[in-house]
Amino acid sequence: MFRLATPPSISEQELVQRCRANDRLAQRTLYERYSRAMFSTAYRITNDFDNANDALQDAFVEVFRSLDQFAFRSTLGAWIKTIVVRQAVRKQQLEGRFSTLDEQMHDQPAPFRDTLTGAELDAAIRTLPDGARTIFLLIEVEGYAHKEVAQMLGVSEGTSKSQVSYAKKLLRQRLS
Amino acid sequence: MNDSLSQLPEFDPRPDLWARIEADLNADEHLSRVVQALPEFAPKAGLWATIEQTLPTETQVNIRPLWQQPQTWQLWAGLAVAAMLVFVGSWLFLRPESTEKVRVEYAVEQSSINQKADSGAFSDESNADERAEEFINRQCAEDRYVCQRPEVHELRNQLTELTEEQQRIEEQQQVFGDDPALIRAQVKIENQRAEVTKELITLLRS
Repeated sequence: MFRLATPPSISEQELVQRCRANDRLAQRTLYERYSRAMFSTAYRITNDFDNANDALQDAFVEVFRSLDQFAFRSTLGAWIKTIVVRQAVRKQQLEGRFSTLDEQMHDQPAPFRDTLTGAELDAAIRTLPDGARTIFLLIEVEGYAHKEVAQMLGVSEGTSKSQVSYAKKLLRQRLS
Repeated sequence: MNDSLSQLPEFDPRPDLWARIEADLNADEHLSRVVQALPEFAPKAGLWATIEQTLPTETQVNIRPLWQQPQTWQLWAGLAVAAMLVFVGSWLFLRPESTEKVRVEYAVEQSSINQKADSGAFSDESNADERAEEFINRQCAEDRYVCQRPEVHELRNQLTELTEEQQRIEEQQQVFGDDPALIRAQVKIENQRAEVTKELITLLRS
């Protein structure tokens, strides 16, 4: 609601340089610029408000500490998102929490309702099992490749693919 | 062997397979569209303050005065003399013959507001605020699930931000007094607080 009076036109490069010098105003500007989008990602992955805040806190501290390593090979937002996702996934402690596909899921679910809204989809995503939800979000919402997700979570690409497929079928079942 | 391989029989897939594939593709497209409309959420209001505590202090830059740097004092001395000459010359030639008399007036406005009634009203307001805050905290302690709802978080964050803004205005009032702009801002914030509190309580009761 209340935003800092910092120049909105400040370039990403200048912002990064000022953050590297521990300019607190620049660091806060960077936080304000990205916190909502990053928090939304962390909140969806962890499915818990407190865990998401912890993940975001750890992620931004890591961002400011390792900003020297950011080499502008991607956008700043994409680089921060990778850190946020890793922190959120770490909070999830997903080992062994990937559901096996239900036999009944071989039935073809009905299509999504035409009137489906973002809020309804968000609510349905929250009901997915932890493993399937996390992989679905990373692939379908955040745009990572199966190979990246597999490396990030320490699973096979096959597991990543099957969990996304499982999540989609569950969503279609719940939102048809 | 090669002949047998080419003679292997062909089989038809189930008749509705294309329909199933098409349904999957349509569902993927639909999902991609709705994903763009997923809501955004805000972290808790005090998170930046917590992050800030863990960050190192701002880098101290050691500034060496220019006049202490080798071979630059002559340059600065020359520039200073030139600037002085330009200033004095300009002043002598462009000095206006001013006959204007400056008169400064000021007035002190006496407030006619009944201080006693005022303090009573503020006290009532602050009691109501405290009661509302107690109610919200109690509800959240009793039913954590309700307070995990995104819309409740959003409203609680707004309330915290408004409270912080209100405190900032009160601090400014202590410095600048009853400035009309500050009073207007305070009234606006109080109204917003009241609206958000009302909305939050309605949500918690629903």
